Amino acid sequence: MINFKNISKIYPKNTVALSDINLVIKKGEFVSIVGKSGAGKTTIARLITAEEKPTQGYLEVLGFDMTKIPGSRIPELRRQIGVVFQDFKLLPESTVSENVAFAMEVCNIPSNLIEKDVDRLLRLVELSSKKDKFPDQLSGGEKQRVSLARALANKPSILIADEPTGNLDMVMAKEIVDLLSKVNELGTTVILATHNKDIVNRVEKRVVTLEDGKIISDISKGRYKL
Amino acid sequence: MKFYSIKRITKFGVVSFWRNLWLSLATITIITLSLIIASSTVILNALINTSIKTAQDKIDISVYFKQDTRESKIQDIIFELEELPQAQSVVYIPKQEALEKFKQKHQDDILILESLEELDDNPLLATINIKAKEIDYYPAIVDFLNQERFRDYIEKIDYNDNKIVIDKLNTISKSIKKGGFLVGLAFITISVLMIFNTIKLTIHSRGREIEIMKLVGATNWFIRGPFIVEGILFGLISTIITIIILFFTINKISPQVSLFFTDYEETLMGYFLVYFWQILGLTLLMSIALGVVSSLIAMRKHLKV
Repeated sequence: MINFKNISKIYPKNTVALSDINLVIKKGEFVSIVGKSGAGKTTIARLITAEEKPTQGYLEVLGFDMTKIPGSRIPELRRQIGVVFQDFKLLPESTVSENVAFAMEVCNIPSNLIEKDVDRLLRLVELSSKKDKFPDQLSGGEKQRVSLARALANKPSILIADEPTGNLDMVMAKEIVDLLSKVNELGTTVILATHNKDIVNRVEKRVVTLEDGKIISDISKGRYKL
Repeated sequence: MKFYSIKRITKFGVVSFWRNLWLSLATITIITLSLIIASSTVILNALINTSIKTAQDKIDISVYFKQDTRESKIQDIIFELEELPQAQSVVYIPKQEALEKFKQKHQDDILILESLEELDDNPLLATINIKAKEIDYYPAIVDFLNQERFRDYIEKIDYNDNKIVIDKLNTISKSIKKGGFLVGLAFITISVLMIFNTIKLTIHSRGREIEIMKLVGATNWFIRGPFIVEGILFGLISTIITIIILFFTINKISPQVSLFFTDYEETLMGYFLVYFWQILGLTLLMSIALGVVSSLIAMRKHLKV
């Protein structure tokens, strides 16, 4: 499903973000990518969503050769990948249900189906009562749940959560991680990038540890070391 | 593109127009101001050109023949004048016609009519009025008439009276045309830049929104669509406001302008109404094209996610 072969990412001024990464993620896996900030977690996420192109190596995501993917096919790829961001990235001028519906609207899904799915997704993240609120009127945890509902809207094959709990307290963070586990149980591949020790230990699934752009350990049923 | 995506894009455009109402109003205000400046410049230029043309049309040379000049000689001179490349029209007014016109003009003035009756002969002279093709050509025509061979037949050439006016008008019209064009060009350029920059700011303030759209898998055209719809709305509303403001302003100042251009029969309002559809169409075209093109250019940077 995702295959990193000798991937390096070097930003201008010779900043090495990733060096010689080899990583295979299979369908249905739950992979936590851990490491300090600057270790390269976000770069891995951005390479998978085609926000960045690798400098060296070969990368395949959902059958796309990411070193050669043309700009016109990126939307097609992104519709199969749901992303939850640390800063939520919600449309500030749209309501909760519009934010979730939006991801489906860009995929040309008919309105009657969208309505049903939005209701279902908001029930899943327990926000049905706040569907007409604007992001400003929500707490951090609620915003992250909207972001998660949106990421799941197109029934993605892959769900990437990049520091989803970075702006949340522990109680809310645990809620989000439990939701991610639930999504994974329903068949979606989940990639969780984080530096939060407690939530990684709570998941008890595969843990890939990065340091200075290199993989220093890859353990199934692992715990957060470092 | 499927029908419901066009419908959806239009809905997005309209919704975001309302949600960002203050930004929309600010943009519309700037576009409206620019359109007023641009269209007033065009209208004013056209008005000045028309009034100069009207004033020029009123200028002519009058030639008065001596009482004893034979009709055949007059016809010869008219023929020669008509052959002149500088002359546009030569109108002959025989003595009898001149008298009738004079009588008609003074039909209420019994004293004048009675004095005319006293005279045995028609005291008025045969006249020809000559119009030149260009205002610069009058001196050449006058030179032609001042030749030695015409001296015995021509009583007087009525040009020197008008000479100062003609020369002055000539100079003024040339500099107004040149200046008007330059000022107009400058104002229109400023308007275009103002509209472009306003829309650039509007889109810049929504760069994050564009980024999010891209990240959830929207195609570039799906993102551009609502902004194009907004651009069209900006153009449409600004044009309507501009036309309404122009209408009332012109209605208010039209009488004063007519006073200023004393002999000018056509009023400013009349001019505006005659060219109403052209003015409306051009303004609409300019504002929508600017709105849409500016949006597309301003968005390029944000679409590179």
